Amino acid sequence: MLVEKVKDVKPGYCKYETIYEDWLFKLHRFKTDVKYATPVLISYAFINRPYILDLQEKVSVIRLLLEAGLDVWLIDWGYPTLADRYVGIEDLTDFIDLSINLIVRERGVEKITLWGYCLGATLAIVYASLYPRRIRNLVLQAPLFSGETRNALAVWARSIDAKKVSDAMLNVSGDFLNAAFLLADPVRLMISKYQSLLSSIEDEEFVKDFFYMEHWIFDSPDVPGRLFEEYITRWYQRNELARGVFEVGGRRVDVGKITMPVLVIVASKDHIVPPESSIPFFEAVPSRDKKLIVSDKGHIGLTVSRSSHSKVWPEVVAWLLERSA
Amino acid sequence: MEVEGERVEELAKLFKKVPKTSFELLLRNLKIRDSLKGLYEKHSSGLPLSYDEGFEGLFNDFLGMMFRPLGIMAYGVRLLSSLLSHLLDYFFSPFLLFLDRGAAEAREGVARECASFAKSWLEHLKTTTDLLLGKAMPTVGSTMEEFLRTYEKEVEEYVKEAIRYTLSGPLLPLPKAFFTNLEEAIRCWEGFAKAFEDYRRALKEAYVKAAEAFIEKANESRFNSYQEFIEAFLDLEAQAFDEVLTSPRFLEAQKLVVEGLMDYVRYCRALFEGVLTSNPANPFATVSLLDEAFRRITDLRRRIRKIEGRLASLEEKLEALERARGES
Repeated sequence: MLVEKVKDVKPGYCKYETIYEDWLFKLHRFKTDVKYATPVLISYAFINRPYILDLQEKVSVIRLLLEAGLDVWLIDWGYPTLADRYVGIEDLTDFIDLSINLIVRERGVEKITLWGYCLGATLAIVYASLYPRRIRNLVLQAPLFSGETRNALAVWARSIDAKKVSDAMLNVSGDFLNAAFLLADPVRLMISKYQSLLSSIEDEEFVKDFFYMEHWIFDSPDVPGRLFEEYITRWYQRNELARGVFEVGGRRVDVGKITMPVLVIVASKDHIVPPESSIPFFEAVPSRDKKLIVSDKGHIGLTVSRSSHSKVWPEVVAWLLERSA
Repeated sequence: MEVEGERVEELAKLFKKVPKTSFELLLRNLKIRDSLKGLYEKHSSGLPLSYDEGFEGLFNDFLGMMFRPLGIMAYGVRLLSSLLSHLLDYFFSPFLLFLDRGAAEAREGVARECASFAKSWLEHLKTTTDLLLGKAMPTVGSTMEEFLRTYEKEVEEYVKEAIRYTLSGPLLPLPKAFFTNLEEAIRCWEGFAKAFEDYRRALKEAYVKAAEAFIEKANESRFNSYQEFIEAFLDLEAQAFDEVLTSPRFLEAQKLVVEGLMDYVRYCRALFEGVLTSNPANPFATVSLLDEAFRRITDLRRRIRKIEGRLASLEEKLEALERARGES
């Protein structure tokens, strides 16, 4: 029976403790024997849950980092409620700053590796541009940098009135955003995918992997109304980051200030943040030590596919270890 | 999956274990698979396929999920408005009678009803206190009776006075903004409904074009397996949707659908809030009031954070100065 195959599916493998809580946001630290001096702080996208990086043991990126001896910390952007409606990009970058303060004090270091994924990588770009001296290495997975791409989600983001949506919904619900993601590729994501499941219903491993992903896909937090307005209007519609005119707290974000080692990982079949969004950043940063890895997977396959874990992640970990002593 | 009864039982257990949307998509796809298998059987037996035999139903199954989020939002507003309409009936319908010029008799009837309501409420209060206090403390019971008799008289006088005041002129207990918001909500709903038809039509045309291309291919050549059959069909449909979903016509329809629905929700919320906040006896804080409070709190919090940052910076400088002084 199908239910027998899925009853033990529970995402999240590595153990962590919560070091700090700040109303909505939390800072977690994963438990391991630390062998490298430079801690890693992960900033994931605020539109999904970060445990995609630790979905299950066999495809956990965090497990690989911990087993290599890295000290891994992670920001949890939480589940916003109406009380968080006016949280904006500045509040998120302030929390990254607060987290780094806590980490450097705890570890007795001056710099960390900042690792961002998707919109979390965009936040990492913003932070690293404003505070380059605090960052030893910058690792960016599918960062949204240019909002002028031709994928359906970007085209839609450029065409909606974000203020109307946030005025009506206050916080933009996880369900609404999920619907947008599904509708951007409805046949593949709502039909072909489930027809494949029905064809493979006897394959226990396939079914389990499928529902691990389902749990994550449909566990979407609401996005604070202000944050939604800001990132849709300023990152997509006005393309402020790529144009070099984005400001936070009155300070201009200039990627020309990013000179530390940079690793950018993109996925050629990514229909959420296509490579055309990220590559302009890679080309613009003046870092002498920079590398671009291109995977042949999609936005999430980059993280959880078996081929990524055999080809991409060992290369990423090796790059990071060389720069973390 | 097994026979019907076992299947239903399994689905019920599955519903508890998997996300709700996964469950819904799985159910829809079970139906889609049954339809596709039927079409494949027809194809593999050498019979020609045609759009009218099965493909139209498939469109509704395909797109049911696409329209669902909009349906949920619109339905949510409807549910709230039907709840509120009951409240409005209860509190305001007697007064709405005053809008009718020929309602003199109705006014008197209303006045009598209001007085009788006050009286029956007092009767209830009296009975309840009798039950609570009468047996245990007969002296208190008789005092309570005396109090209630006096109170009943005063309430009756108050109700009569209140009705005399309202009868002296027309009374519209709802604020003007209620009527404005209601008109705007209706206008937005009509705009949304029209745009939704355009939205649906754009998707349907893309679907039909791809389905017809598939039917032509299927009728000209033979697919060797069910898997090959559905992959070919779904690939053609996926490509058709890739094209239509970023087309100017679709984008315009989608924009109007989303904006129409958002405006509708906003005006409906405004009119519900207007009804509540116009009544000084209302004990409920509205979403707008809370929203403004949270805006101020968030703003204050940012200012506090900046001040804390500056304090920390000053403390660091002070410590550095003291260290330097200590060393010298």
